[in-house]
Amino acid sequence: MSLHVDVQLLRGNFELDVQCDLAGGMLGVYGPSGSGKSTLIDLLAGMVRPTTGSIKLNEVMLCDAKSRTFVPPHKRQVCVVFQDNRLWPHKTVRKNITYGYKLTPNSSRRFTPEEIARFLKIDHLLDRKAGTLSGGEQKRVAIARAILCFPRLLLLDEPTAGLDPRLIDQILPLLKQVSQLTRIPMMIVSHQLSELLSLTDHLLLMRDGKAIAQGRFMDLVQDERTFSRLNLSEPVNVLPLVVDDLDTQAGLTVMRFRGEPSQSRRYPVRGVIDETLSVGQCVNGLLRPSDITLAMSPAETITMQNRLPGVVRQVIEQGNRHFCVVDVNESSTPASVLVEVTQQAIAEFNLRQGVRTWCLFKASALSLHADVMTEQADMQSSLPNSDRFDCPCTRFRDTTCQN
Amino acid sequence: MFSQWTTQDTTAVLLTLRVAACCVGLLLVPGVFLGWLLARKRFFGRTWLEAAINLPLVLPPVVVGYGLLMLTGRQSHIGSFFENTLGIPIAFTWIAAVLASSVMALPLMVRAVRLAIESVDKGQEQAASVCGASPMRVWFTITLPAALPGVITGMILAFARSVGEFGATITFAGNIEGQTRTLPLAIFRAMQLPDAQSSVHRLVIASIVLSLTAVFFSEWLSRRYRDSALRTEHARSHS
Repeated sequence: MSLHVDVQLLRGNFELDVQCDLAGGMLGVYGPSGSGKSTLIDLLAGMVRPTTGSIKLNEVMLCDAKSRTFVPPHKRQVCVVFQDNRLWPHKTVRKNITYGYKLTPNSSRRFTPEEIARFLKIDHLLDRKAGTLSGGEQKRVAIARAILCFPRLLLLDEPTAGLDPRLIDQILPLLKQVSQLTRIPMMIVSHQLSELLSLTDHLLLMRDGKAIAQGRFMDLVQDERTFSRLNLSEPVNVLPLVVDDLDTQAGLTVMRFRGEPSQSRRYPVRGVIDETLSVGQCVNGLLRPSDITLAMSPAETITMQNRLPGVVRQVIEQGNRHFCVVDVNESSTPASVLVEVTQQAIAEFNLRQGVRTWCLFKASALSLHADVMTEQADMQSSLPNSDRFDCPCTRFRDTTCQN
Repeated sequence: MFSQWTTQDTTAVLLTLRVAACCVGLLLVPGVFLGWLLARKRFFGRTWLEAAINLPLVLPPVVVGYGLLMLTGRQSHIGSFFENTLGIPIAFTWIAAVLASSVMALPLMVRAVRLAIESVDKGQEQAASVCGASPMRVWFTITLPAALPGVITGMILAFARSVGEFGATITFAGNIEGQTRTLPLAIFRAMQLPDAQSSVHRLVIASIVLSLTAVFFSEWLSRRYRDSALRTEHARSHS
């Protein structure tokens, strides 16, 4: 899969200018409201024609202003999950999700509507009118409808907009699962950096209609041009964790990093108890850079519950703000955190590359969000014939991480 | 009074129904097409087209009838082509009655359809097209079903307009018994005859019954639609 975008659009006072590439997986499109993220989706789906430039998907020119090529939306195989879902309220859920499926030739169908409905937990809603569903249900139906079109590129416009936090926690892992199962390349638009980062660290930064940069989150943090565009007050540290124990007495969820043996940490990662989680489940721990304190010792005389030994990989200075990138996981899966520090702290503790340090943070600073197991799915994708999944549902049950 | 019901009365009622039904049938496709065109497309001459469609609403019906006569009468090119080449005379036949009421009803039909299509969410059409539906399929599976209540309203308005049409018909189609004498024309004719008071009354009652039936039918249809929308709303608020 390959997507090359280089388009410009003039609409009144608004000017859009985007260059980006996507080779597969997930790309998070991040920018404030009005930065042209949704217009980019309209351009890719063919609902708007660009003024100049071209879009090429899998070596097929979708539109090119020079040669006046324009493939209409229904022939692009680019599907959209709209921010407002846009289900057909008077049709049943079944009719909604099979609409695109029926238009797909047999040879391109990789799942049946029943499989996807079961996987997205909407199988009990199939005979309801779409207009009667709740927000979270509608979103899942919209995702099912899009997957069942078997697109070559799936665009998601603010998939968590209008959903309450509990539903967001359901939808995000679901999207990750969808990506792992179907391996449909996805572009996810959001103005919530932390949400995007719990799905992917591959970002496209938009600002005032321009694509400023594209790359890995950590690279964007280190780039002077893009640094100020990232809202680092958000919980942008996403720790890939596995639940080791739910200690109701201590009121703590005890965790380790993924890829580490069970209960092997001297200083486990601890969050506030969340009884909706279960032992062995994969979670993402979200943490603000400003919530982490660096110490030269484990400082066992303070109440902070988290003490992660680490090594400073890099010190970033951007204007008045200073950050340390600290590698906190010695095992196979690399994990690093961004820590906000002051210039005074850098000088006082001589923070530089290679310095051994301890990252301290409160259990309550870590917000826990259920995730899907990534390691196992990666293993599966390396299996032969993994292109054609016979039953995604059983496969998905497996991926609810048991390790 | 109804013991004196004559075959002429029956002929007038049946003719009225036939003309009105043909008028609705004739208008259905162009009415929906024009409604869609005005609701969704921006093109050169759009304002003029709109004005032309709405003209019969503001012109005296007799003028519309006269215009049609000029356009398709025996002396005109179109009229003589139909009469001499195809052997179908138009003016002063029941076809003329259908044409006259169609032209008069077209703006009502177009207006109803246009309002209905304008209220269909474009986003839902876009959702269908990104799912791979061609514009034609989007129209038949998404737009038309959503606009259907408006189309039905338009059809009933056209039917009612045709039943009541007088001025354009009498000018363009004349008042020929069994050919073009619909209910309003029959009433007009009976009023001019001496001692035909009861005949007038019979025809007036027949008109009222016909019109009320159309109104009740339209009310029933729209209530049915509203109820199903309400049920949807109700279920939503309880889920």
